[in-house]
Amino acid sequence: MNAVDIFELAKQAKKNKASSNNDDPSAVIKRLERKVEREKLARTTAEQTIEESSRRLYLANQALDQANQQLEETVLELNDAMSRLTSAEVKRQATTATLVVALVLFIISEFAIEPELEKSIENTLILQVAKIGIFSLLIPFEIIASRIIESGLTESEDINAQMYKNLLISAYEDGIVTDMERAILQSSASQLGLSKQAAQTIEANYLKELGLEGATDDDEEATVETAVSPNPDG
Amino acid sequence: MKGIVFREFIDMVEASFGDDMVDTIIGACELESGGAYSAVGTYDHTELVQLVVALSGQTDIEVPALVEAFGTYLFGRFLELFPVFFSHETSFEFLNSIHDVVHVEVLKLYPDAGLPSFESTISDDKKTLHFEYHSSRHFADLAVGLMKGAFAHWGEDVSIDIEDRTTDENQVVMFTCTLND
Repeated sequence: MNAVDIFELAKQAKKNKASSNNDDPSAVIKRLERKVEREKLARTTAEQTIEESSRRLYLANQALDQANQQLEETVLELNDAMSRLTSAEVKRQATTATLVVALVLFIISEFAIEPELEKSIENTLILQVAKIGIFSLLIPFEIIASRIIESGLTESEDINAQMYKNLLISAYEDGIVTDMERAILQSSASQLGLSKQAAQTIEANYLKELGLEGATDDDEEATVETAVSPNPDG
Repeated sequence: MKGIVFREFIDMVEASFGDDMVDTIIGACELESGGAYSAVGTYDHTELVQLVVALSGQTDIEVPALVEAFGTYLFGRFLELFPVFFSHETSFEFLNSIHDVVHVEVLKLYPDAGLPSFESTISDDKKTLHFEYHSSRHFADLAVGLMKGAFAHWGEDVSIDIEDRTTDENQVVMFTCTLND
């Protein structure tokens, strides 16, 4: 089936019909003037359309900026909540450790020291004073031991590092670490008490897990997208 | 309807029949736009219908033939303006991609464009394309012209069987295109 050529149709039409071209100069001028008027009008409406589109684009951009800002604030709030949760987790572990120390000291006092005292001291009053003395000596020991353990837990980077890794997993989930995500990661590292180098090491290890060892900032986006994509064929 | 279609129609009439014909048909119609079209504007599609009818009256060429010829001309223009959409190996592959690829891109540029919808399937032996056109604007002849432009571009000899399934609201036409050996 052949395509219909408009130029062939036009030739045929011109053959079939006597030419009605009006070559009178004044008619030509008037025709051209009308054409110029149409072109001017078209240009004006095009300019109005473009202005309207620009205005809508500007408003849409502003709405996006606002949404972005709100999102950033929400993420910071979430980040803060996460830090508080981390802190609460550390405190819970410290409390458990303190209780364990207290229990150990109680057992030592009750079943090792006190029976010995009861054997060697017959005077009840002196025995009670001795027991109080030993108990008083154990209290600072318990406090010191608990603080050492608590301090060890608080300074332990394991929990904070794990929290930072969780953030990295979220950031890399869609395959792209945006500028905002990068800023959040940096502020989170600081809040979690991780040095820049420690944060970089955690990220490098995570990238190694993803099979992206040595990915640079420039090629990160593309390679991460490929690596974390669940099923590129699907 | 997007202004680019009107602009192309006016350019086609000017190139084939002369600028006096453009002036004549615009003068013969009652156009809300005054016949001043810009590619970025949007205009009532009935203005195009009026212009085609006026052109038919001036040239004694049937309206369907003019619309079809415009479709073929439009295909050539789209090929020049948007070559990225024409990288397919066959016309059937191209036509099959219009609704899901080309129209998606068109809507990115012109979100308010009222596009016809197409449902198409290619047979397993890739020799038959079923192409169903749905539109409230009744420009199936334009679709025929565009398809013929595509077949000519890929140098294929294709027969088109047309079955009208028009409803009260929409023009629905099933085109069965068969590739001739």
